[in-house]
Amino acid sequence: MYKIFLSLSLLLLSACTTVQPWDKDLLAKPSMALVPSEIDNALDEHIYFSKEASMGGQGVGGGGCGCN
Amino acid sequence: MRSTKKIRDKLTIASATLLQATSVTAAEAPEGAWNVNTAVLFYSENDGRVSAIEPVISATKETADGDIINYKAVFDSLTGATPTGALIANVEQTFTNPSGNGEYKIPAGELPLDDTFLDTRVALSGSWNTAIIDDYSRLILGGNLSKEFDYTSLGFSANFLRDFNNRNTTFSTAIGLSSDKIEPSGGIPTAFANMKTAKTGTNRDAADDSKTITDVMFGVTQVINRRTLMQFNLGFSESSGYMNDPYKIISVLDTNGDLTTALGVDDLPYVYENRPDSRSRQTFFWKTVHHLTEDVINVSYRYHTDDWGIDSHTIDFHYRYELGNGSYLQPHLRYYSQSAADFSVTSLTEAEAAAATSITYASADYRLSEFVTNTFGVKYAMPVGKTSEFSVRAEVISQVQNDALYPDLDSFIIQFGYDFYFDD
Amino acid sequence: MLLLFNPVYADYPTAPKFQLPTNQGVIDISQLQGKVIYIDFWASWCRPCKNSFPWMIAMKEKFKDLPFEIIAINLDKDKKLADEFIASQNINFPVAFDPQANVATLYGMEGMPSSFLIDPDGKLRIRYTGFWNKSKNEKEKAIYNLLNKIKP
Repeated sequence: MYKIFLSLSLLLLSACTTVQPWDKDLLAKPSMALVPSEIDNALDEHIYFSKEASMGGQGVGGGGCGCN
Repeated sequence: MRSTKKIRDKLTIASATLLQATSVTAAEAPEGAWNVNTAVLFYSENDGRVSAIEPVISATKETADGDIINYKAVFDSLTGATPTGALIANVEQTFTNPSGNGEYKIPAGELPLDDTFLDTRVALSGSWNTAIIDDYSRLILGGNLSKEFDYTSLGFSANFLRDFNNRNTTFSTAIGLSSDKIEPSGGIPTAFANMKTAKTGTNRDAADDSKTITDVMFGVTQVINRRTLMQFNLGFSESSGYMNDPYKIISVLDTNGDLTTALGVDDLPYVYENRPDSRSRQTFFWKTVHHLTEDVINVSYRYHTDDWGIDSHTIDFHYRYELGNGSYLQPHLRYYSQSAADFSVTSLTEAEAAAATSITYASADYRLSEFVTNTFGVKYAMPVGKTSEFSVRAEVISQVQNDALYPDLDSFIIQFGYDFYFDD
Repeated sequence: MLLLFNPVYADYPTAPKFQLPTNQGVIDISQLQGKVIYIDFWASWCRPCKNSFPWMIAMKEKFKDLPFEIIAINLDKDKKLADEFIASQNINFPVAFDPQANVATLYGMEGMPSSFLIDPDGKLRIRYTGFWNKSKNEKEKAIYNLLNKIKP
């Protein structure tokens, strides 16, 4: 699984264009957050955790407007 | 800015919430004000099983120094009953309450359900997100506490993120530690001991037990282009300690498939389950967020595997359909499938029950078996004034077991939310 | 806990010249030669950018009798959003529009907002990335120091 993770991330890193700071207007929108509604997400995760045997995986991330 | 979330969710909701605006536009946000997100969720299952009401409140603020602090509280009030793992029988069944103080009868042909564990739960969490070293790195520290009458959980997490590549790439490393204590009604049952009839007390080892969980997660978020963002995470989790569900039992059947009658004095034909005292999990997670002309697609895939034999796949898909003037409609689809744990059973034979020891494992808990869960939902949100948002969300969750001896589950959610800014 | 690293240009390159439209006509930076100039690249979708305006307004007011100019260059792709924000502030300096990011590309930046301090000889002195309350005093001092170099 590590190999898949590593190769996928390296593949993506090489395939991407560098997006300039002024082109981050769309990424800055709340709708483009990795998790647009933390509350919905947390409530759902709790429900599925109580009914299923898997949990987590989401972690924290970047993205957004890249400001500051 | 980065979204923050504690790396693990547990029985307790323990997620640090996002800095800055979540579902409310940040354009008009008063500087230094608290962004408050509130919601109340109503949850209901089929056939007299669990119902719950869950109010949540979460407040986030950016300080003058650029730190982001968050506090969150969740209350859970549950009623109803949950399957114990015992099978439907063609005769009436009698079970003893976990406390040992009473009994309940289940008619022939009905699924045995127990309501002991249901109660009120409170979960509190807080997090602090600060720039560290220089303005390209951030450290997020989080803590959470969850309490219900028979369960306490305390956890901490630390997450370090660094931006590279003109802030188009973010690497994150996170660690989480949590310690849970369970004090079940009636104490910790002896593995594979028989449930006793009500008058004779219980087969119990101790009043309480505990477990610890350590999580590590590595992640990379990558801006693909002006409209697309992707995230990959690799997570590792080690749990150790008491992992059983003290309220779950397994029916013991004779060679005809009926409940065994070869019982000791005051024994009932059910034994307490037993799970390994350690669990090693790995997850691989991939998410893509993509902005179309107006709308946004958010789709993710998670693969989970562990040393209990459970492999699962989760696909989660949200489509945000902009209605104009800031309101939107968001359908949601989720597909989940898991394989059964190695020790997942529907019942035990008399021989298996007799041979079982503290280092053999068996559980009839429907949550460890092989099943598929499908969810379909939709959310509607609309702005209120310049900086607030009201939302309503409804979802239908359908869990279908592969083995018909396990109970299927249908549940329905409706949630109302209100987000606003509070200037203090 | 935080070290802010604002790169000082080692060899003081010449600040790129430009002409850009404002809501009151065209602004040409070469006409401001001889003054200390603070250029700020911002957008309405960038919260720290908007948070920096009260400080910039205060700086312009504080140094209003001195040869000091601020030019805010807006990078919104939708001018309406920029105009909405401008209308909500009492801005006492010109706001120019660079929606194709031509001037932004000339100056080069790593994040939003990005500000550039230019000396009276038209040379780039310091580039600031991001807007932090912590660095307000440091920036004010840098402006003040450059103003002191101008011979009366």
